[in-house]
Amino acid sequence: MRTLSPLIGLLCLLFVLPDPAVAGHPKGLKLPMGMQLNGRFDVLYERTGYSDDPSDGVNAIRNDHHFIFLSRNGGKKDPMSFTVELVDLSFYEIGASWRPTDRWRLSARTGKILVPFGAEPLFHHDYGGLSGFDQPTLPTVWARHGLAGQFSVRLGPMRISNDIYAVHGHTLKEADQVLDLKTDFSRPEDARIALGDRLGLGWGPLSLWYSVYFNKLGHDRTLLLQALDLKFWRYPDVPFLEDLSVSVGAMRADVSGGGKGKDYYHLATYLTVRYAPLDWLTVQYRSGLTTVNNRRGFIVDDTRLDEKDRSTHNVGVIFGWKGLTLGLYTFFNLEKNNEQDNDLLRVSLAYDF
Amino acid sequence: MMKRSLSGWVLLLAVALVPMAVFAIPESVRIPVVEDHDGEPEHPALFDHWTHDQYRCYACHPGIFPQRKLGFTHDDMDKGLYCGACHDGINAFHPDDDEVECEHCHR
Repeated sequence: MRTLSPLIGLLCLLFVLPDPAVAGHPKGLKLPMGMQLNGRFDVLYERTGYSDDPSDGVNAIRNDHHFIFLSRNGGKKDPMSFTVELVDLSFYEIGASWRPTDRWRLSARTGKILVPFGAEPLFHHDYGGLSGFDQPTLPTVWARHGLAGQFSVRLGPMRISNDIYAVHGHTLKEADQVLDLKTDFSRPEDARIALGDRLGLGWGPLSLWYSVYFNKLGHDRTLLLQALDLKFWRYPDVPFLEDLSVSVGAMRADVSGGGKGKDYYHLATYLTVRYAPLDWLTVQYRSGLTTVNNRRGFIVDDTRLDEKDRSTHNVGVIFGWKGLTLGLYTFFNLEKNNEQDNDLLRVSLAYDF
Repeated sequence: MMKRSLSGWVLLLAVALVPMAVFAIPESVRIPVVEDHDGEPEHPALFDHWTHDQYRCYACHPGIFPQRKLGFTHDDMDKGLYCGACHDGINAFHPDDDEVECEHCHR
């Protein structure tokens, strides 16, 4: 109870603060020559290292977000733009865009680009039911050196977009190695090029993406990564639905070749439901399944289960005021084999500008 | 067995597509009209996320556009608020520029 007192105090404080609609949000920092600074910083208190009972756990203090973003818009006569994350250089993109007609838009970008795989925003993939810095399957910020082009076109009530790209890809050091998509990237001096495409369809509050990524891994093996993501976003003027967003998706990574019977795949799915009845209040539920190193033909290969095969359920309540965000979360991580003490309670305090 | 499985997929597709047809409004966000004025626009203004994706989300959220439903006026934009933060006639076309037709946004 003593541990919870500061939380209860913070919650009470949020209820007496002014209406954020009146208070407004910080707008970033406008700089000369069309440049702008934005940022996000946070600190997290976690109770972790337990299964089911938080009193068995340990305390942790962490920081996930420490980002400053510098963006430049070239202006209406200059098609060039760039954006860079300044603290870690986790990505930087130089881009150009053209509009041949009101319906069409073409753009290209290069640098250390956010790989256009999965649903937007690309910072937060939900595969496996864990997002952002908890994401178990894809890199936390999947940005690689490369080149991407995009077109989008409006056709009546629909918008269609397609991203095509070539980026610095993955590799396998050993022929029998199980690929880790978060870390097994090729070295810059022996780079493997991955090719990918993402097709997007937007219709009213619905957005659908199909993503595909192909990469030769070496040792006569190849990676085919695919994902399907569907997002419903706050249907306007209908009570309840106007405050609701729902996302579902699945990602599958097939590693093929290298000899008969050596093919395997990883699978990760998710469901995210967010309800934001007030500007300053959001409730969310997220769940998902991750299975790795499965033989073809098995959804969950029970001959190869370990702690990386797991489902997760997490619930969060998020309060916002001005640029401050207070989030309270609980995570239940259920390993299919070799259960880990990795359930989690989290309090996060973040500031965006 | 195969036929049953196929009809299941068809049913699933229909269940998915019927709501899409019912919800057939543009992917983008309609800006609610908040004031009465002469020459009421035929449509509230339409904002397309995908035509602005050279900017990442942090450029606009939550500073310029909190993630909630809101309406605003041309006067607000003249003060550099909302769309006017970028559409100021220098960085991007001004909504009141002579060469910009109402239908560019109110479509």
